[in-house]
Amino acid sequence: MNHLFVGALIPFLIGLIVYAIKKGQVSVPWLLLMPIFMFIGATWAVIPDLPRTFGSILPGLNFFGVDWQVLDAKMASASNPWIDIFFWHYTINLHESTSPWFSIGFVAMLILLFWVAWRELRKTEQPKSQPPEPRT
Amino acid sequence: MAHSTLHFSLGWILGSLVFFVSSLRIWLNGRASDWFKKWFIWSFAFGVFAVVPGIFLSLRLPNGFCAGWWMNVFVLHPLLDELKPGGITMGPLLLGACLGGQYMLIVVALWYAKRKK
Repeated sequence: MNHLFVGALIPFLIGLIVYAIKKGQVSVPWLLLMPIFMFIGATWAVIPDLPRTFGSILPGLNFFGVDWQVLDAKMASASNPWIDIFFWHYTINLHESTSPWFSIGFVAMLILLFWVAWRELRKTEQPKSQPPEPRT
Repeated sequence: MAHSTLHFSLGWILGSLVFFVSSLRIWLNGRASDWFKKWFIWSFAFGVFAVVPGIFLSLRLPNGFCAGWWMNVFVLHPLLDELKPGGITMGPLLLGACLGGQYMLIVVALWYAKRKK
């Protein structure tokens, strides 16, 4: 979970900076791109674990002729520092802990994303306040 | 034992169904943001309700109590544990589909509201 969290956190923080610069105004493309980039970030962060995952889910299949186990051995994240290109996967594995805070953080990001979308909808639906008519 | 995301997803779906039936008036007359707010509350409340026996277990209450038939009140929790043990792949996928669908609907509603404006 901590890899997923770190992977999704980076695009989320960039989006949050954009949100702050635009003073809480977001467009529909921003709302569409944010979860897509978070998904790409989270997927990028777990790439070294994917051969093992697919190997356990689909043991009979292979990846373009290469066995999942062979790919997993190539990835062997615990002994390859270059795997840090996947959002510090190697370093995180070295200091891995099973804290529930990663799951809580991930859920908090999703809730915040929903809230931003809902807030934008609310603002759009609110009628613009009319200036008071001048007294005659 | 089924994965907690599977329980949460089923609770989420049930909450959404209950809400849809009871909210036709808001859908037809009210603002979409009110409708979405209520939908979030209903679906997430039912989702949390469905994982209550799991929360009891993590609080170290006796297994006999947490797996008893009376726990079926919490969106058929023990029944689902028996029918679909595990579900570590299916649970997050189902939850992702539920939340992704909900998010897409709110973005579509926003796009429509901006266009109408």
